[in-house]
Amino acid sequence: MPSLLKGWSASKTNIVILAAIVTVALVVSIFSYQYSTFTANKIVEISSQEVRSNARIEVHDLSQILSNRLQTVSALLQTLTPSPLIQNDTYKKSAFILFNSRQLATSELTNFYMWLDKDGKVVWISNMNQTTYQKYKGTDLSYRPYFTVPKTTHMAYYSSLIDSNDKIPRLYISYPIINSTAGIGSGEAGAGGIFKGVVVAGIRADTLGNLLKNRLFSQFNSTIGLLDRNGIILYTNPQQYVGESIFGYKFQSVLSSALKPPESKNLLNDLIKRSLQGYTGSGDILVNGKMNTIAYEPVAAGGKNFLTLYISAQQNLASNVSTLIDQQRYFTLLVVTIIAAVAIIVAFLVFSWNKRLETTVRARTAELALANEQLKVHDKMQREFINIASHEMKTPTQAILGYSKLIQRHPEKREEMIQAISRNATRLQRLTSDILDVTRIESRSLRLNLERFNLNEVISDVVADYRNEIEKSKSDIELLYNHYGGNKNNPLFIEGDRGRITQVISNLVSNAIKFTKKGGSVLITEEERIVVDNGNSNQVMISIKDNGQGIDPEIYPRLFSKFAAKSETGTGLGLFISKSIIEAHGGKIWAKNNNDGKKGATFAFSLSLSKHQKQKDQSSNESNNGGGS
Amino acid sequence: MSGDSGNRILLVDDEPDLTAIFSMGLEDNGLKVNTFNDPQLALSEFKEGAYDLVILDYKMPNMNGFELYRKIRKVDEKVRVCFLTAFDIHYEDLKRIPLQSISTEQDAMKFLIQKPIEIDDLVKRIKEELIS
Repeated sequence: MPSLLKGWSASKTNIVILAAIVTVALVVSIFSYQYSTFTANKIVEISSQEVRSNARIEVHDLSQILSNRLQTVSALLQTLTPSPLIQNDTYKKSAFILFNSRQLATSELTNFYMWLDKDGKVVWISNMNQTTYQKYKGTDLSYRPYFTVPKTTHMAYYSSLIDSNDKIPRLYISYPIINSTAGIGSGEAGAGGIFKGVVVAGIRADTLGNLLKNRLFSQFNSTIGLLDRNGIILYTNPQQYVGESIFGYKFQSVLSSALKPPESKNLLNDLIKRSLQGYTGSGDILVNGKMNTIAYEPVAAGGKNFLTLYISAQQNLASNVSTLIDQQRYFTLLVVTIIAAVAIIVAFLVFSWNKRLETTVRARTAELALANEQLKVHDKMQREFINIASHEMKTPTQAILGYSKLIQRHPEKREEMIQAISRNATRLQRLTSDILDVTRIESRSLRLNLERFNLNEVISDVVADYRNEIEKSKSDIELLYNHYGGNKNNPLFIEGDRGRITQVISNLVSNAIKFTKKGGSVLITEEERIVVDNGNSNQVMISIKDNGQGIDPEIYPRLFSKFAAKSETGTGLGLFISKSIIEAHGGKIWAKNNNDGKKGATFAFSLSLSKHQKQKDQSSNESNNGGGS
Repeated sequence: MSGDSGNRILLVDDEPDLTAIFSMGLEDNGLKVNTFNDPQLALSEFKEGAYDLVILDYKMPNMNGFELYRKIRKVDEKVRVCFLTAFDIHYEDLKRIPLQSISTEQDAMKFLIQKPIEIDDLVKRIKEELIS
């Protein structure tokens, strides 16, 4: 469970880290988005401001120009009226020349100059050939406001748009001709003079528009509009609406279909109404997704607002900027996506790293647990070993203790008891030695004194010793030794610890004899064999076969472990020690019950032979003579 | 308890040297001892009321002392039993087998004779056991 809890707390930390990363990413993204939007809006505002101010400057400039031109026309008209050539009918012809020259001076703007007599009939129209003049001469224009108004007010008159007799829309500026005998040089047409007719300047609406259009700043993408004071269109692009009232049905229906969104139309109408009231200003109107600034300013003439000029400029920069804003939005979105991806990757790495760490920790913990378990098992086995070993040592100790006491009371059994004491002392000594060996083996401090020796010789020595024992005990057991290939003088050299190998052979032979009944036999056989693997290493196998009671099947699986099988006089450690010694020499040891119809067991071991077998050893041959069967 | 001159004791231990010295020591003190080295044989020859005291080795081949005890108990419900052992046997180990009334550790230790023991000490313990 603690490992699970650990995992949980680790993943909790991960979640916190992930949340922090995502939060930071979000905050950065939102901030960056906000900032970019703010900057973009600022830029749009600045550019709009620029467009607005440019439009206003332009509309002001053009309005001033127009105003000046109109003032000029007005002034020319005014200077015409006191002229004696006009005042006095006799100089009519000369007056015509005067008209023509005046018209020529302002031809940029004016279409013609016209002289009407006191009854409103055409006296003279400038720039007219004789034929046309004859046609218009005497035409009654007394109904026109440019005649009636100055006639009654004795003041200058600025007309709204009027369709002239030739169907061309024009504006008119007219001045009354007042008999100046009352006050020449007063400059102003006095109310008290006698009305003698008017001088009129006709200005074609398109001329006016073209004049203005040519004066637009070429680098400033704008269009121009001009209304008269009644809201009649004097100039616009396209020109088809010239002469229409801006609030008339025709133009309004065009606006309805052309302007989107619909509220733009209302905004435009409001702006125009305001402008017609004589205000100067500007407004932004959205036209089909694009912002347009419309600046307006009245054009004054003769101290009155004669016309209203409009400059409409699209906020191109603003729309460019909004493209940039969109790009920036995409970029921001991209950045957010990248940050999110990075956050996810980082989180994934952190998670997987953590998981790997956890796995490693778990594996290590499992290893430790296993090692701990092994230690516990080892510890338990160690305690068991000590327990059994101490038991085994106490038994002969008890015997020695008992006999030593009894020997005093029973002198008649002295010999017997001394033998018993000796036997138990030997047993104790053997046990001590075996326990020491086991301790060395288990603490891995068993040292082999390696030397090259003749295995034949060792076996022969052991055989000789045990034949003596058998003879002493009168057990009548036959101990046979089959040399390899039947040749006694065929040495088997091995590299090993002579003493330890002797110990193993003694142990196996002694066991065989112990478990063999009187009259049985023990056969030692040596055979050389070749193992092909690992490059031709020769091995020798020694087997010790008896016809005794055989191995108890219950004991068989743990035959080579400590205290598994115990003979009457044995320690129960011999086979364990033998196995350890043979394995320390790189050999193998095994046992099996005979299956050839005879009783008994066969113990066998194999060892590697020394590579230099040919080298003859004289002394080994000599000692071989002592053994043999 | 018995009409004979000495108390009859059964001693079972797989070590002949030990049965030899213990029986010799006990007989020197006027006790009658019957010894076996094979628990199986000891059981087969065991009869109810034949002994005043049974002394059993714990670790024996084929059948350990506790097993032998249970089987003897089936034949004779009353006979006193002591264990002789070279192992470190604890009170807890003894509690697991239904010996005579054992309630305290001291109680338990009366049934347990630890090897190695001096012959004279053993004789003293056995005599005490027979009197109580």
